Amino acid sequence: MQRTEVSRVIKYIVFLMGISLPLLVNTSARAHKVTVFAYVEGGRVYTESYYADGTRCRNSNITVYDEQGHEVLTGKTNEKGEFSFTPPSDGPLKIVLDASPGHRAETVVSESELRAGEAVGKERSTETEETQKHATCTVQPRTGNITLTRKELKEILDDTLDRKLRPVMKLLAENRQHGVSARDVFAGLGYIFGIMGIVIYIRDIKKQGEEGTDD
Amino acid sequence: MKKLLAVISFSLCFVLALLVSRARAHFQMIIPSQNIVTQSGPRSIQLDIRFSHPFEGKMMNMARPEEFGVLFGGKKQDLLDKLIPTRINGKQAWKASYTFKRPGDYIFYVTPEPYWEPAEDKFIIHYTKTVVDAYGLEEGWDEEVGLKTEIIPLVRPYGIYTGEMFRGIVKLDGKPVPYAEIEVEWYNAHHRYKAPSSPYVTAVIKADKNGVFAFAMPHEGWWGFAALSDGGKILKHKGEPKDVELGAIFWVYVHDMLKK
Repeated sequence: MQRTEVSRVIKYIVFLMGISLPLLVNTSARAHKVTVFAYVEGGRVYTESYYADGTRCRNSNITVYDEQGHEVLTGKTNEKGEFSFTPPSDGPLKIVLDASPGHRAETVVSESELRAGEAVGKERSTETEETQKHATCTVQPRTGNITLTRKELKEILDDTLDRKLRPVMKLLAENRQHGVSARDVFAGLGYIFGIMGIVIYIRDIKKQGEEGTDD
Repeated sequence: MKKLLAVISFSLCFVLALLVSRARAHFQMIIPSQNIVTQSGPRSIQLDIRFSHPFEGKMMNMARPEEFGVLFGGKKQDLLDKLIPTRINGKQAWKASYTFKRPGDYIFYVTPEPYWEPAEDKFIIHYTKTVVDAYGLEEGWDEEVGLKTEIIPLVRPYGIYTGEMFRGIVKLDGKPVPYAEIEVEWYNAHHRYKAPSSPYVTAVIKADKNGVFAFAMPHEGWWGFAALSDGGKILKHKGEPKDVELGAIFWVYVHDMLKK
């Protein structure tokens, strides 16, 4: 992007803020919770910021922190509440949205999501058209390799397995609950009594036949 | 002789009681493992799709449905190929998993194959829906899928506390159904509750002249609303035209308030 273009964009943003601020003050959106949603695709982190009712958080501040809590980059959302960036490292990132006083939200993009997101991006290159509309920001990647201790690896694995298996465990637990109900037992007893009754009845008729019918 | 008659009538009563209970309200079910998906929790859900009497836990076989999909952002996505057959209590049922990629409301819907119910001498088709919200964007829950008959919620159908009121409008062929009859049943998922007597199994309510109904849900869990309409004799059983019960089913989850 050229310098003149950048300054034009900034002017535009300032202008938009100028006209939208007075509007924002009295909107019902203030009663709603604000969310910053993040996903990874093609090695890029995309964020969407919105109020619960669907109102987008425009021109809102986004700050990205690394695992140690250091500020990695900052930016502003576009008209659609979108903002995207290339992650500087594979480490987990915390994304904080500051929409207006009292409207702050954050989300964490984990290491596994960052890795999985790269793979997803390779499979789905067709979606780039849409994603290019995002407000963009790139930063210089930090150098340095990530090393994991055995313990850290175990924690990550446990966490992921727990998350993935939770619904399965729930289903298993639910299925186990379906046993034999009291009604089934009673119905079974009913059938037994019924058959017994018929057997005794037939025997009785036979007996009466043998003894002669003087009833 | 009298004793024998007593035994026979006693046992007949049992069998009859069993038969009567079988004729209770049918509900097509579509129950997600969670109806509010967050970024910090699991991003996938399991959907439990079965045909049953939800309070009593009795199941019927459910054939592969005609239609199963999700409405998100005004677009329908066919999910039929995601269905996995399963057996619950020896009966045919279905399950599917779904991963949420984007924020917003997702309306899951199923149109089952017509079910022949010999006890009621009719076919049953229950068009069933439930809504899952993903990542805090509460947009889309009041959209219409465009099913033959459907309940459109007038209350955001998630994030509801026990005791709150659910309201909806019953539609058939896109038009409100005046004074529609709606059966309401609680999903007795773990068989921990029993009904004091039979009317407590299924609540019966009616819509007003605009097809709008309301019901306050008194207990935590899943509540099923089944708005029933007469579909006419559009299907044949063994060459004979039979009645068809059209049902618009909607499933809502209510949560108890939580202490800190």
